[in-house]
Amino acid sequence: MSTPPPDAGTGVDLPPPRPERPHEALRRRWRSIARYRGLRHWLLTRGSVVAVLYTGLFVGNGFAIGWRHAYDVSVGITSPAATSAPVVAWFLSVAGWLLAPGIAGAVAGYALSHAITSRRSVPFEEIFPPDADE
Amino acid sequence: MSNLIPRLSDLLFRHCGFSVPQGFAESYVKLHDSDWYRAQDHWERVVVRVLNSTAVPESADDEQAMRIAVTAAATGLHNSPLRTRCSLCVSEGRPS
Repeated sequence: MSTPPPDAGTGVDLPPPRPERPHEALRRRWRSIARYRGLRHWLLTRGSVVAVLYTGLFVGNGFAIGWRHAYDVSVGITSPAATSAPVVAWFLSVAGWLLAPGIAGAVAGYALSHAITSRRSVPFEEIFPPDADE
Repeated sequence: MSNLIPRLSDLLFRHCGFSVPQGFAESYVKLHDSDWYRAQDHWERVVVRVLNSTAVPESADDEQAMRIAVTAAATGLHNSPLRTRCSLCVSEGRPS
């Protein structure tokens, strides 16, 4: 990713660019996500935010009501009212119903749509190379 | 060819696989008082805008999308009134 200093003979009347700093490289990578389409773009932008929020909620509940109870509440095995901290557990329970299926559905949808759209991806020339009969 | 938004220095000093008008990168950096950092920031923001626009066909994969957007953004910046002023600099309160 680093750029060498310009050659002396390029004739460009500019100061030499400095190497890309880590935060600049990260920012460029983040902005380049816009090149993706559909589900992949959603997963990397909104989907990742939703996943982080859900993970934060789960970890918070893990410390508040215990990891096993947090899991049980998130998948609907246990009522949040039956935990030691029902207020935060209710948030996790609702998120378990609304957010987790959304993320899982998006991942499954992306995998399926990728498999479907890339089904005929082998170039014809690869099967019958031009010089195969020689 | 990388699928990331190219650096202006790569467009200027390297053959990085993108097609941009001759002299674009140099004039764009000069438009930003030869400040590579600010020029790169504004360049990336313009490319992102183009990537989110109808200039890129819905069916384009990530590599095609980036190639189309970089060419469209560079051509648009180079061949329009924006050649003599940067709208992002103006919006930031910089006389450009």
